[in-house]
Amino acid sequence: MDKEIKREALRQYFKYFTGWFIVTGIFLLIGIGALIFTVAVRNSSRNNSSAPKERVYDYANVLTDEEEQELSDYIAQNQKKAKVDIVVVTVDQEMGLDDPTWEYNMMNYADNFYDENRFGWNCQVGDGALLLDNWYEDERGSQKGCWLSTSGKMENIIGSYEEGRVFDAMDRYIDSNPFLAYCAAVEMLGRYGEGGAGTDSVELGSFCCLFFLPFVVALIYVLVHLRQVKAKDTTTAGTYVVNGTLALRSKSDEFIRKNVVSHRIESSGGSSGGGNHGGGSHGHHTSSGGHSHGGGGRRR
Amino acid sequence: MVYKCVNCGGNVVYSPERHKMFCPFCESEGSEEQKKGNGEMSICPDCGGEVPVKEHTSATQCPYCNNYLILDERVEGEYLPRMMIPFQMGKETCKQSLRDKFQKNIFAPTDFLSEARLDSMEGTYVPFWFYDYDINADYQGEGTRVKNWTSGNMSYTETSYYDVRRNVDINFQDIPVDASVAMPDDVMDLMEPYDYRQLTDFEPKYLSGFFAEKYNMGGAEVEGRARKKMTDDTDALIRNQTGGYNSIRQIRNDVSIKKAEQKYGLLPVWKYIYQYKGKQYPFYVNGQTGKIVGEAPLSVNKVWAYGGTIWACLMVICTCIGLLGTLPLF
Repeated sequence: MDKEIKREALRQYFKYFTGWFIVTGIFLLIGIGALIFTVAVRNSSRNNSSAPKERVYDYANVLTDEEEQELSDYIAQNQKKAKVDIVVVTVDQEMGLDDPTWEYNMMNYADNFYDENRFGWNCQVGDGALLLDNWYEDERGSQKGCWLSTSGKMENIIGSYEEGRVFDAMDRYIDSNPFLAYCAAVEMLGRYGEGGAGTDSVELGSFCCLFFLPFVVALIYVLVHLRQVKAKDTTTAGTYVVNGTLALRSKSDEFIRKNVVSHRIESSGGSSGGGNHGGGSHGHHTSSGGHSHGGGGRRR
Repeated sequence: MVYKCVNCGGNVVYSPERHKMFCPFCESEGSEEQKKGNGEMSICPDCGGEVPVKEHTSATQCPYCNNYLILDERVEGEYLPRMMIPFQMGKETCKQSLRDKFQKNIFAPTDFLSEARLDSMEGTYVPFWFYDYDINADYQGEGTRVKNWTSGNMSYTETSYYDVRRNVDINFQDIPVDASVAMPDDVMDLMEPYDYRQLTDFEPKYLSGFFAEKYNMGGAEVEGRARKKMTDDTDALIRNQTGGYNSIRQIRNDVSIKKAEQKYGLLPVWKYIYQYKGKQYPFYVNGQTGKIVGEAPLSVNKVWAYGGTIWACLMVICTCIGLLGTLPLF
């Protein structure tokens, strides 16, 4: 008897979840396919021959020839590891004094440089990051600062938090030794590209998505199915009354008294102020070449 | 007493679907004849077997020949019901009603709605007292009507008080109160209402095929419940007559009973007791209207299995969607 009940329970279980298992199976197959594809792509060599081989463009002349060569080698190592293109560009040109103009010009310069040279590890204007460092300064003031332009998978990986950490790493050396500052930035970009450190928010999001969200849905499902409709009293006051109603013999509604209460209406004082707060300069945008870029900057 | 088929000698029972006496063995209708016992209540008039008879049982089944027996002494004299509603729902219809109601309870134990378990369902005629009251209610209350308005920067609230009086006659008929100790009062109250248009005079043949009890308690013993129902209904009916007030406070409601009467009768109830992990889960179905009272038991194993499966499936789906999001194509 017990065996029969267990068999019946299993039959009911599989009947109930047939649809679920089919959908999950389809997703599982797609997921395994995606995993295989991702691994294959990760292990593949660079797939973009259109971009120039050079990765360091020192137009501001802040690096020696040896430093340029050393930085190029270091970039090559990190590129191979992270499967992303990493480009360092130094300039010494006017980008604007006020913040919005400076940001706009830096962003356009970096995005266009990346697009025009068709950088990208996997394809033209594909996965990669370009670090633009401006050294311009005149009597009106300094226009020094960095801009990070990201593309492809780096656009998704590098958020404002990661960007801040790259700039923080540079800040320690930039004034004393630009070479070390760029090396530090390249190392951080390589690590992020590899999907390594500094992705706390991504991990938290993944955890919520993978564990917590299904848990909440399953909990709601259980609670909904635990609910039972209880039998209700379906009689009314007139159920057992002949003809369902009473015979009214007399009725009176006599006014006794009234009272009036008054009070002053208080006007509600105070007002709430409002305004726009400027956020960081990080964000997704489309370059003049029509390609999607992420990134942001920091002035010195 | 037992009803025998003149054609085949089988036990003839009352069929709710056919509204007739029916022999389940030769399928004849109206072929019944009474076979009286030898006067001994606990001896089956057909097979002579000893039938266990409880204190209030008036109809039961012989455990040896499975014939349905009606205990004459308990449906005669002081125990003669004045009226009854015969079963309108047969066992199969009742089983289907239970399946329909509880089919969506996926966490109920697997065999809860199994044929074998549902087959143990028993149809029982429950003893009821019916009360008629011809009453007069003299009601007095204080009603208030509230009016609000504003003028300039002032707000005003005017409350008017009224002396509200109503004098009404109400004729209550057949307020039912169960007279069975075995049946829970709250459940029997929830079984209501029965459709009294199908009330009929008592005939012992309606008991054949079912179980029954004579009243366990006298009419005076359970009348308190009928009076409470009557006064509650009176209050509610008078409240319906005092509309138009924002609030009303009852000062008095004097109910005088001009005429009262009580009758004894039987009402049909299907009873299904499901045993699960040492606990009984009773279900009652109104044998006339099909109204069901009872809560399905819960299988904790099923909750974990079903909830866990949903969780696991969603985790797999979310993981796969996450993997798709990391594809270099996206």
